[in-house]
Amino acid sequence: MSQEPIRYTISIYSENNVGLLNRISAIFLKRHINIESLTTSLSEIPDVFRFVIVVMVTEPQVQKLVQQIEKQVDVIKAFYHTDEETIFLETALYKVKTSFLFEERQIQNFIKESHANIVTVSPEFFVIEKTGFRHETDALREALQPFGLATICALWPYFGLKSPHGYLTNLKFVQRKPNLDYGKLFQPTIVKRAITATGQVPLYGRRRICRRSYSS
Amino acid sequence: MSEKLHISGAEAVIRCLLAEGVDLIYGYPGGAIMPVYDELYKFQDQLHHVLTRHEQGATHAAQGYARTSGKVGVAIATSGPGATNLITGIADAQIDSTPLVCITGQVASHLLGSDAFQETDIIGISTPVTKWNYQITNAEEIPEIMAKAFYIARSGRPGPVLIDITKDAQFAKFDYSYKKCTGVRSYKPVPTLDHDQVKAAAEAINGAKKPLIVWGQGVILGQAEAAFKAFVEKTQIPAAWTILGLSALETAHPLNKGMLGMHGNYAPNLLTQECDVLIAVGMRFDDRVTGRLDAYATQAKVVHLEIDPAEINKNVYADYPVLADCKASLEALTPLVQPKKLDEWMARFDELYKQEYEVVIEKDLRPQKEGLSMGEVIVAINKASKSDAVIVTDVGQHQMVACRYAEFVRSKSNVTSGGLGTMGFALPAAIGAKMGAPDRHVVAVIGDGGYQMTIQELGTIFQTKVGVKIVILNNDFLGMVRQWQQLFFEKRYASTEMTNPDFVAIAKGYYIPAKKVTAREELESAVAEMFATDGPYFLEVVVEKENNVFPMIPTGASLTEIRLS
Repeated sequence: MSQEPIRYTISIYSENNVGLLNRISAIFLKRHINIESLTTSLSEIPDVFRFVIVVMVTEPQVQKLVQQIEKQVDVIKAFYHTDEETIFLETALYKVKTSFLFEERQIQNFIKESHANIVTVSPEFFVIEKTGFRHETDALREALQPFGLATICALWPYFGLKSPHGYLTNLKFVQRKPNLDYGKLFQPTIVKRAITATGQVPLYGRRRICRRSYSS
Repeated sequence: MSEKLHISGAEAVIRCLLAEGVDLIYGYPGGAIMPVYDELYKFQDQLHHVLTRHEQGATHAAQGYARTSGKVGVAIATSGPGATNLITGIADAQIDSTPLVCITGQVASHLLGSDAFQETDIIGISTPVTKWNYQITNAEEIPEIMAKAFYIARSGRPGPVLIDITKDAQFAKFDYSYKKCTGVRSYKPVPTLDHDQVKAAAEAINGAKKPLIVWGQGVILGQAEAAFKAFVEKTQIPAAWTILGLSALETAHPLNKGMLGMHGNYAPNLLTQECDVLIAVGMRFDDRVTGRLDAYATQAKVVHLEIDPAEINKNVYADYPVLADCKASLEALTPLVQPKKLDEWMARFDELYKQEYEVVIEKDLRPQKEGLSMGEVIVAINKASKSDAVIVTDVGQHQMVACRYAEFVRSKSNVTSGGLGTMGFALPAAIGAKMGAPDRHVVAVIGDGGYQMTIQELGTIFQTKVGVKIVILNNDFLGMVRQWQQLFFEKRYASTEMTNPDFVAIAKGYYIPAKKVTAREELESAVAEMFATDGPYFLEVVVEKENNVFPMIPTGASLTEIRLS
């Protein structure tokens, strides 16, 4: 087992209750472990909530974290994955002065080359949206930097799985709580839906984050 | 129950408690919980409320009650300081797996987050130290949440649950009906026994040449005492206990080889490092038991019978985990194991016990010094109670001595703060312990330091007339800290010496019969008199000031480094 801290993604399926976020983050706090990123949303299963938490820890540490998380009454199931077992995509929004769009022709090329979209234009600012791997969103940020990039916001990492067939075999999951009501939770059919969702990003919560960023 | 009643949230709380079979609760009133107290007044014939003198006392008393009765302890307090004062007891119950339901009042829901008078975020504060908690802002939630609270507190690995109820929810009226909780969809309290795991464990045990059983409170919580004894007697494997496992198997049993850990017995500690198969039953490999973890029983294959999946591989890797309620796993395991002939291995225990006896035990129990030793006080209690008292201990030297030398013939007789090590635990816990086992003698053995942390509960004893026997082992020191200062800090006794008051006068101030013993020849008769007196009794025993507790495994040392002096 690896004793070096590496990046693990913990995904948690849970009830949607007030205070659960606090209860889960307390498990990290108690062990003095910093959370790299945390996303909460509805999951692909109706009425079930999902947390995705990224941490830099050793494998024994992540196993114990997952065991403690699963122990919580409101948690249905928790898994951990290495980077190889997950796909990270993030959505970045870039706010740029509208005048640059006309004065600096390169910007249009950046948008085209990076397959980004313009999501809104106002007389003062326009907003570019890019969904991709971290190095892609980083590249666009660097490209836009000289041209009055006002803000970059709404970084929203989320994860998917490389192969639906490999779901149960590839995942190292600590299965300690066989489920009564959620026996079908991890059937491949549901997993496929999750994969599709990953590609198209219609997930709940994203739009809300975008809206908030518009007003910033 | 199908009764439909249009009642207030506060009355619903009381009816829920009654529906759960609760007849005794501990608490302290205050502004935000007054509607519930008003209902308590109306229901006082059915639900007895014990007014402690501090909310911490209420949680510890509820713990003591839960530990001797096996039922869920209930504590109730108001918002703000009332709620925060519960926290020490809740944290203690969490780490020692004691089933508690704590109910706190909260400011009205429209005031939440406004820094209202006596508002505190008790849900946030209690989250890391509760098994589950919930804030009720709507009276209609009360029956379902209360039912869930009791179910969660007592099922699986037990623990404390806190329910915070806003004042408006206590006042609001609704149609009440109660249904017991039988399951929570995201929560599986007891893992299903896997027979392959049992078979693998049985094979490992059958192949063992030098096996050792280490058991913990799981045996008591799982009501597995008989199953455990059957397993031990069939296999004839020596067994040793953690501090919370104490009394699950009678002290005099020939296979009971004593206490594990920092101040445990010499033989089971040293032989943990020699055994080939270590069979852990309902225990969690606390650092006080294992010493240095990377040197702990590295030669042994570990069989771990455990109800909580999060404990498997947490501290010690389990080669053969058996996940289930330990009663179920023991009952499945016993038919598959063969009796063993372990004469040579048993001789090692006897030989090491002899060494410990000569260097430590004889000195503790039959001291040559003029001053009394803590050990001889415990022996006097054993004698007067015929080894059948409930012993409640606080934290420190007296706790280690009491656990080492107290004798027990039945389970649920040892009540102590193990995991959290809460000084001030014993006096209030003894009140609850006596109420949970009213037919038994309950003796609180407490140091002079811990006693003064919750000394105000003498008021509760006086008011309720609960027959708790209090024995203070007074050395005018915070003895355990002083011992460490002597051994590891070159006798720099920083703030460990105590100038103590006249304890007898204080007890008498509460009209509790009291006596002070300073000489050996008075001890036995004083203890006998204590047991012969009806109702509460206070006995102060002045003991040798600078005695140390041995054996000792220094913090961070491996079990092999255990010191006899």
